[in-house]
Amino acid sequence: MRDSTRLRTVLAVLLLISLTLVALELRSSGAGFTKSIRTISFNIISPFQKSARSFTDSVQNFGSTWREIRTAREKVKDLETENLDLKEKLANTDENRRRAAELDALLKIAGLGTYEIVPARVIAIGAGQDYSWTVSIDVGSKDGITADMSVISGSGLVGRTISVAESTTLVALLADPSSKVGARIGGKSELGFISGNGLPGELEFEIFDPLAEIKEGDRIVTWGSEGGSPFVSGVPIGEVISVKSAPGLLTKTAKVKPYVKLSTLDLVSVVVEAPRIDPRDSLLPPMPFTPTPTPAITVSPTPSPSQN
Amino acid sequence: MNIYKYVALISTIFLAVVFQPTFFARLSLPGATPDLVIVMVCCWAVTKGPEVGAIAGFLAGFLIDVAPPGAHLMGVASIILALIGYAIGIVGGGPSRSFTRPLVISGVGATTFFLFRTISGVFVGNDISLYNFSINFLTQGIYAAALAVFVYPGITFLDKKLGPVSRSDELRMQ
Repeated sequence: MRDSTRLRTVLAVLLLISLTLVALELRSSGAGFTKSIRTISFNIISPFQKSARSFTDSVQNFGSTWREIRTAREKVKDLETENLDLKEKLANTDENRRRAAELDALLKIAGLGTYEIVPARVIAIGAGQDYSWTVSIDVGSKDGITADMSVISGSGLVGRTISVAESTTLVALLADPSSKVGARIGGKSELGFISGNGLPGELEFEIFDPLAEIKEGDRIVTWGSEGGSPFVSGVPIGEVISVKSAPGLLTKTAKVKPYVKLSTLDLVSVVVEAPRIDPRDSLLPPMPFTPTPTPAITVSPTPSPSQN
Repeated sequence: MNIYKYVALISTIFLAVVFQPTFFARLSLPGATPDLVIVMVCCWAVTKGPEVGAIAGFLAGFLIDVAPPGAHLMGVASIILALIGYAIGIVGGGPSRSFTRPLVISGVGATTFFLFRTISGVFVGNDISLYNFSINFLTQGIYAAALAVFVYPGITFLDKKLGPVSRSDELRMQ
């Protein structure tokens, strides 16, 4: 009897604490007491997550090495040890080469757009269990990051920073339901909003003008916010995959497939300074089809008589 | 529950919260992401009964809410998980030699938690198709049961190792 009273008291106390937290959070809407709890926990838990991340990396490396051992066993016994050694090295260089390629792409996009960026690695991914799409990255306020900065990767827009601790930053991805990005169709000036709906491969594009022309394959870039925060202008977002319009609606909507694969992010970068000149469409990837070749005009310094 | 067991409880749940987004979310398995945290809570609740279940659930929910990259409303996960831990302790707690029971219970616990999260996801404006939902629901249960195969023996081992079962513990199990 005494035990069941105790049990009920414990449960009641726990629920009361939780409800107090909910009430505090709702009242201060993400600032104040709950905000400081979050900041403290970020600073405590992030180092653990970083080491867990490197542990995961080594497990994955081990996994690929192990797989290679098994194939090597089928080969000649004498070569086995040598093979193993070489393949282990190969597995590591592959990973390094991939990372280098990603960095190259990042540098290229930042160079073209003249953005000033801080590169970062993703350390933890919100599991998508509750359909909220957030990740944390390994740079923070000490690297000059503040809230509401654009986060890009080699192929386009990733999201924006929402809260910053000393050495970690929380990023809301494009697919997060809270995400809303001002965007326009590349090559035209039609404006609209890109919003997430919890699915990584599909964004919603809402165009203001119901008569605007939009078709499959149209490419979407950010139109940019004032002062480049939260979104800098001219970053590629994605490609239209289907258009939905109904007569009588005030806006037209389209489904957009983002250029960035949001479910497998690794290297990203935070734009700390917006470009002085709007890059417009210069960052969009080249069109998939090649335009009809125009005859090249060769200018030779000394025209020969046969060319006249 | 002596002090060592509480330390074990806290550190196992902390570890689960740390590895959840850094390891399991990275595996990109088909369907849902395996939820180590809820399995941990279920196994503690099965081993030690409703009181420890509720405490474990509260703790896990709190950590899920405050640890990066969580950005949802603080306190909601701890309410849901504390209730799940409590209910599991009542229904499935107590001494038993059955090995399948903790697995089934972990599966049920994980899918229940997933259901709650999906509902809260719909509230914040997610577009969830029935197909996606059912796939995630099923895989979530299967992954949880599979994880429990490893987690449950570990927790019973810790429980045995960290001191004898006291008289009050025996009573609490009733």
